[in-house]
Amino acid sequence: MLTKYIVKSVFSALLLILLWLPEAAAHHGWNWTEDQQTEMTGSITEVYIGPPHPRLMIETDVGRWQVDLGNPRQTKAAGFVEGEAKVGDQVLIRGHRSAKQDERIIKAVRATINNKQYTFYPNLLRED
Amino acid sequence: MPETWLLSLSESALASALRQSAIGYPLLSSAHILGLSLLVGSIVTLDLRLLNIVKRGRLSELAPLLSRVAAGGLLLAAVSGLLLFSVQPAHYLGNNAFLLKLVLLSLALINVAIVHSLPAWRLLLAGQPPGLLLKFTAAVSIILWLAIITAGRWIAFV
Repeated sequence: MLTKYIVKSVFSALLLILLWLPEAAAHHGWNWTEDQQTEMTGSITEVYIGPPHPRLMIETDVGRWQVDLGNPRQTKAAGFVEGEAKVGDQVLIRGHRSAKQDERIIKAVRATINNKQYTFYPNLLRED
Repeated sequence: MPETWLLSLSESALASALRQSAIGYPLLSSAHILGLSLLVGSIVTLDLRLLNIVKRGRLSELAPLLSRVAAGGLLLAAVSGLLLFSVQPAHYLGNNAFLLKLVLLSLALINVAIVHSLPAWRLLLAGQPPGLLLKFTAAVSIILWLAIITAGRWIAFV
């Protein structure tokens, strides 16, 4: 009987750990980002459009940054599809930086490339 | 050389189709989860029975059944996993959680090969109770498969 309870407790604890730890680290939602919206310009070094998450890598004055775009559906809805951007293009990102100072990731609300705007989260866009 | 081969996977027609399809990737993720549910669900049950934590059922019947369901789950998880990997191989090869998962998976498969080559396994199928060696490999198996799931889930969070 006792072993049964021990096994049950251990499995429950493992499940809880699995449920809670990713919650703190996940890049879903906006909990991990700064509240303020910032702009950043850079030169594209990598374009990835596809599941599980589309992204850009950009080279800026302050180093190499990862730009998380919308999910595949949102990214497509924003008009950002294969061929819209290529390595070397200049990009203006408007979005929220990671709240961790040492983590160079910005979650884009809007990207501007070659004078064309791609808005991934129209309802979250704040104009200055 | 194997790395070049793995990286070239992303240029395959299948990988390209998966990047563009709205349903391909989520369906494959589902297949991957189904595969690992079958695999881990049955292998943990068998391991707990071998360790005598679960006491119900005859091992001479449970062992061949559960190990075969696990093998089927492993096959499904491996095929779907390779396809998921093909979507962006370079990204995954640079992901420490993914690399750790591959190392743990190799250890788990070595454990499987060892168990199936042991005379104690044949004796188990013939109706003998498991000895200390099989109990040890069962404990190793539980630890490795749970660690593999955890490392796999961590790929998205590093």
